[in-house]
Amino acid sequence: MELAQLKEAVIAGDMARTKSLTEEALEAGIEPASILNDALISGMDKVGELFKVNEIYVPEVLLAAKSMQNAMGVLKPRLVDSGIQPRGKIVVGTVRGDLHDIGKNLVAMMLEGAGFEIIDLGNDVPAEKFVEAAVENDAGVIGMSALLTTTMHVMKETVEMLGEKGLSDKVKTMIGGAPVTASFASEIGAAGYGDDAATAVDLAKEFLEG
Amino acid sequence: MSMDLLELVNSRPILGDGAMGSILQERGFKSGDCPEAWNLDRPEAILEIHQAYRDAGCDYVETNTFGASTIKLARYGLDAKVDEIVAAGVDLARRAAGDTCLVGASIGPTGALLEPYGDHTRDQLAEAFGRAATVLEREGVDFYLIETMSDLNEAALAIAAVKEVSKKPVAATMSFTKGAKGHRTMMGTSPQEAGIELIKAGADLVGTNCCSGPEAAAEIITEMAQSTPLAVIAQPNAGLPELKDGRASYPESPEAMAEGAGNLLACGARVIGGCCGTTPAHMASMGSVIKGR
Ligand code: B12
Repeated sequence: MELAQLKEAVIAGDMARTKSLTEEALEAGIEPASILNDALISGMDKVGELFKVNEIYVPEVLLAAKSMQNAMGVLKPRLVDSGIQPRGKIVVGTVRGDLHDIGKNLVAMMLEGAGFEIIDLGNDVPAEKFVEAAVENDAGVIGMSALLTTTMHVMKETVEMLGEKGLSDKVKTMIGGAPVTASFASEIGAAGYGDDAATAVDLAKEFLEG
Repeated sequence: MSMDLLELVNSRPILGDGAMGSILQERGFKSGDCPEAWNLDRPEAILEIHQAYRDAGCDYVETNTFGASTIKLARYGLDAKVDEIVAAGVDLARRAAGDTCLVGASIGPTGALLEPYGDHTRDQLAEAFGRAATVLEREGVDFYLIETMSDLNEAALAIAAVKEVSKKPVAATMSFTKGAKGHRTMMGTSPQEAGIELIKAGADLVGTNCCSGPEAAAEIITEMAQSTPLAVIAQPNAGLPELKDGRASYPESPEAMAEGAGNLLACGARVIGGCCGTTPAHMASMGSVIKGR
């Protein structure tokens, strides 16, 4: 059993094979953390890279992410047994008035793939709901997605609300979506901007692990 | 109007409809509301917009039914009202069109992704499109415009649903973004491939809409024309919106769009309309170029 094969299966988006190879790897006595990091996560990393340069498109990424999720179903109980903690909690959602959720879902899947615990609020999420969910779940990051120029202001509202509640240091905001830019992020005081899902993972690592 | 869309396209270049969604914003529509619900709640606003495009010289107006599928309406809790919303949409467009221009039935994507990428089956999408098409046909539209599609499979299901209930012309357009490999839909389809597959699925005319502007549309049409002579529809945005004082504003002026329309004609486009950010002023300006020839 080679972890390289499992990694390839993730990249290829082969759901059945990803799951069966994960089971085989566990049976072969490979450490759950190693299966996660060296095959599943590193496979998703590669997928993120390929997507960035348009070698693959949304369908391939979705299939890879689903394969990863399939494997996680098998792996999660074993990870918990071996005492591995998730890397930290992240609240994600598409902002109020916006129903575009494909990009947000990709970001959530990649973050999950990287080992973070995701609280996905779905789409059409108002500022107060982002803030509430972060407080309730003790999440260190809020990731917001907007695809409409007309809904980007909700990101500003969320950042401001965190400020008013004195939570700006405790809860970092990262934002993204096609019309969103790095300059908009700095203008509204968001902690980070990412133009793709791989960057979302980098930002989350930076915010939660320093 | 006595000619149908295909006869008209063969006789001269056509000025398509302009934007609906981005115009609604100016009348108090808020992001997050359901645009098609205005067919019932604010019919006078929709009628006035259609009339303004008719008066600008558009050869057709499109029904305000872009998102009127049960799947998309369900996101607003309005799926039970689908028949009413679609019927009102046709009525408003027809009242504005009169004998002056044609009525095109707008059918946009459901917003759901098909299995295995998403959680919707082909049957579910076919049923949603079939329901809308049945009402559109019953209420009497002149042709169908299946637009802003990202997924070829979804576009093909919409075309098939229309063909099942109608013999009227069907036009189909997809939305492309330019990346490292050139213009592709979100799902990775190239303009050439889109042209071939949409025609195979039964479309009479194909093209692109909701692209970043007339220049991008010209590139896309040129590429699509390599795979089919029927690649003639271009409905570009007035550029991509920029945030100005907290409001979205589209950069291209009516004059710039008119120039873009001239270029599109030179690239072989025969039906040139406007998507997001265009206004009656844009359409009138584009019309002077399109109909002037
Ligand atoms: C698919 C789509 C739809 C689908 C959405 C389906 C769904 N379930 O999401 C439907 C048909 C429902 C739809 C509706 C509308 N749409 Co639309 N849509 C698109 C389209 C074609 C693709 C968007 C997409 O999913 N891209 C693929 C994903 C993977 O990319 P992404 O979202 O950008 O995400 C990536 C990055 O941005 C980043 N990212 C995203 N979020 C986050 C968050 C964080 C924290 C980080 C770090 C990174 C990050 O990572 C992602 C992965 O790399 C775009 C055009 C385009 N090509 O962008 C138009 C587009 C977004 N739509 C547009 C518009 C105007 C609309 C409508 C108003 C009407 C219309 N013309 O269709 C309605 C609005 C409905 C509403 N209230 O939300 C405009 C927006 C213009 C603007 N800037 O305001 C666009 C740009 C089309 C255009 N050229 O004008 N749409």
